[in-house]
Amino acid sequence: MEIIRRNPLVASQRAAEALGRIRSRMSTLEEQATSGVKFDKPSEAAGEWTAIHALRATRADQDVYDRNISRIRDMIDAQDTALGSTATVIKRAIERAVQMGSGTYSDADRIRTAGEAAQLREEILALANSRLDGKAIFAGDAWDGVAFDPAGVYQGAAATSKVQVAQDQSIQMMTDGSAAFQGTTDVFQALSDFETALASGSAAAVQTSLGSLQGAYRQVVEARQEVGFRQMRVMDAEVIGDSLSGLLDERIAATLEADPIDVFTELSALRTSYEAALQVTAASSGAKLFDFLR
Amino acid sequence: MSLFDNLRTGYTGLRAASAGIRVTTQNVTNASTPGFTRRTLEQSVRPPVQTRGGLWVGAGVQVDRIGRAANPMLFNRVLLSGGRAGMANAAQGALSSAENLFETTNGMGLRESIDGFFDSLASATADPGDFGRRQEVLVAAGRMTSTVRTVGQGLNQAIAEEDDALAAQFDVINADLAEVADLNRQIIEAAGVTTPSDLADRRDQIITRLSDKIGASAHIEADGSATVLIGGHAAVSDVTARTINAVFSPTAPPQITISVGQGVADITQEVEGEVGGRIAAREVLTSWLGDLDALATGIRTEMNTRHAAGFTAGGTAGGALFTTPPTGSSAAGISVAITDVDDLAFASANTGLPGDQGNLASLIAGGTAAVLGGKSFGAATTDLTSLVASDTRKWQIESGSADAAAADAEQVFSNFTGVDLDQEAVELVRYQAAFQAAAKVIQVTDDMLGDLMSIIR
Repeated sequence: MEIIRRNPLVASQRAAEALGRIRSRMSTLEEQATSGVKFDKPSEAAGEWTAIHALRATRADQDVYDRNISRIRDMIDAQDTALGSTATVIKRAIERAVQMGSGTYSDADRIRTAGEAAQLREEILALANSRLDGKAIFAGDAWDGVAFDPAGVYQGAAATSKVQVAQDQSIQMMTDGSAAFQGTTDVFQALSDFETALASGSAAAVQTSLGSLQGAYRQVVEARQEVGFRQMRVMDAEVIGDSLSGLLDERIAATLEADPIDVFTELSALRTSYEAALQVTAASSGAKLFDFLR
Repeated sequence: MSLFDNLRTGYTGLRAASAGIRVTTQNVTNASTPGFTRRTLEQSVRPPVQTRGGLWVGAGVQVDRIGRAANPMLFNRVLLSGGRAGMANAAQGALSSAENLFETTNGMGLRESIDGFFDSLASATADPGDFGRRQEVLVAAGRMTSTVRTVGQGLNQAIAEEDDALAAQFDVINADLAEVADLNRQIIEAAGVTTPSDLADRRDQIITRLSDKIGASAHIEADGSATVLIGGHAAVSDVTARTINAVFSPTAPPQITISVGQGVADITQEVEGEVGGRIAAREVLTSWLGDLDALATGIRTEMNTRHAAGFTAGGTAGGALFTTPPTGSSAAGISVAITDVDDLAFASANTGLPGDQGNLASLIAGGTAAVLGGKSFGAATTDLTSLVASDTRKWQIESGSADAAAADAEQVFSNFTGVDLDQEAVELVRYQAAFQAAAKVIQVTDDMLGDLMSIIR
């Protein structure tokens, strides 16, 4: 019969290795419990880095898009508000033109009202030169200067600047004031013509200027529609971004973060195993036939 | 046969039992001595003697030799598995340490730093002329190059450390080979006089250490000497040891050679043990560094080309965005070439317009361009991280299974050659009983002689 020999040196080495394995796993779990992270070395998640990096990269991208959306939304909102106010001012001019073009008012009334038309023009010029965070909102890419000079001549540039709001989506941030205020109809010229017509006291001249004012109104409303369209795209990007962020956070938590319940349960079980292994090791190392010799 | 013969016969029993107790004592006291092989008492019946009446009667017991529970086949299993475990553990240790360079607990690894740079460019689209946004781009570029540099320098350092650790092995290895040859000589010389078990234990222990260091096998010759084979070559034969060395070159991986006649033979691919593990780890680390250098060079080339196509805030053509050293590791020396935010060439034309970001779009597109073997910088970095993960994991698994195989071989070897205290306790009782019985025989014989003497009185 073959004798199974148990050498104390080899036995103690095996016991130390077995205890070391338990301690090593306990150490990993303790690290997970304190950091909250499941993996912190490439080899701990071999084969999963494409997914992990994609998740992290997409989440980081989304943070940038969120900041960009916040920025562009404020800018487009400002443009929308300014164009809305401009439309209101032009509408008031149209109403005055309708009133003053009728036979109800005298030539003297019309001449007195000319100053009001000049004020409306100044009001629109101020709206066209609105600034947000120091940027002229209708100056296109040349936002560091003014959009229009006092004569109503466009000083800005074309609006080519686009802000990235999603992986493959960029939205134009600025508005080209020359298109909004001086496209088919020059808004400032229309108001100047209205003022001139009023100053002449001629009802017919005022009626003639009404057409230009109505054209200016349509143009500004159309410009506002275009801004509104961009506003909707920003809102869509924001809604999709919020939804994606939530989804990504959930997946990141599931993929990368250590589950405290799992970690503490396994840690507790390992501590019990470790204590049991220590006792078994001590017991098996101690008992010898020599103990029974007299 | 006389009563005196009976006394002599009993005496042989006492001597044999006494020798058995000494062997047991030696075994018990060395039970935990590394490299000690269990001793066994080999005894046999003494040749019978013929009485005057022509009868052949027994003459007691004789101790033939104190044997050593050696087993060359199991010993070679220990050597083989030890060499493989030494190799796997050394490679695993080096790679596990180096892999930490690629990822951090807070997720700010290599890939994140590259993504961070391109994200800062995307963030700048909201206001390309803004100082803060431009500063953010420069900071992110600096963080990216710093991370690439840290990983590159870390890998270069790890390779240098492997070379240093490798170089430090050979004085010990060659001293061990020389000692094995010397022990062979002592064993051959002692063989005719006594049983050189202690010398053999010492020699086998050194061969085991050699196997852990460089991978070795042993063949025990008829004269008791051991031929030690390393990389298929006899590193020790009879009383002669050959020299093993590492040859380092700045342009090639280290070469492990063994002296053969007037020349040397290359055994780099054959060695195992710690040396083999360090060679393997160095090869893997060099491959990682190669990929990282390609990444650094790719970033410099692609992004500089795109940057040069644009115009700065001051209206001048874009200069280099990144630099790498002209020689050596690109990754270990990559840095940002500009320090002034106004030198970032985001504009597509020399217009000076703050909203001109035509070239910024091109720079952002650089992040997804298929540059490195048809892959973007991010994808190539993920591939590299995955490679690091799988290479390290492979050696971790190899280390685990090699350790288990080595432990198994040691267990089997120990089962044959090791001291078991329970067995020794039984042996002790057995020899004690034999001693007491032999003593009783002598006492009875002495009583009989006493009876005879009393008749004479």
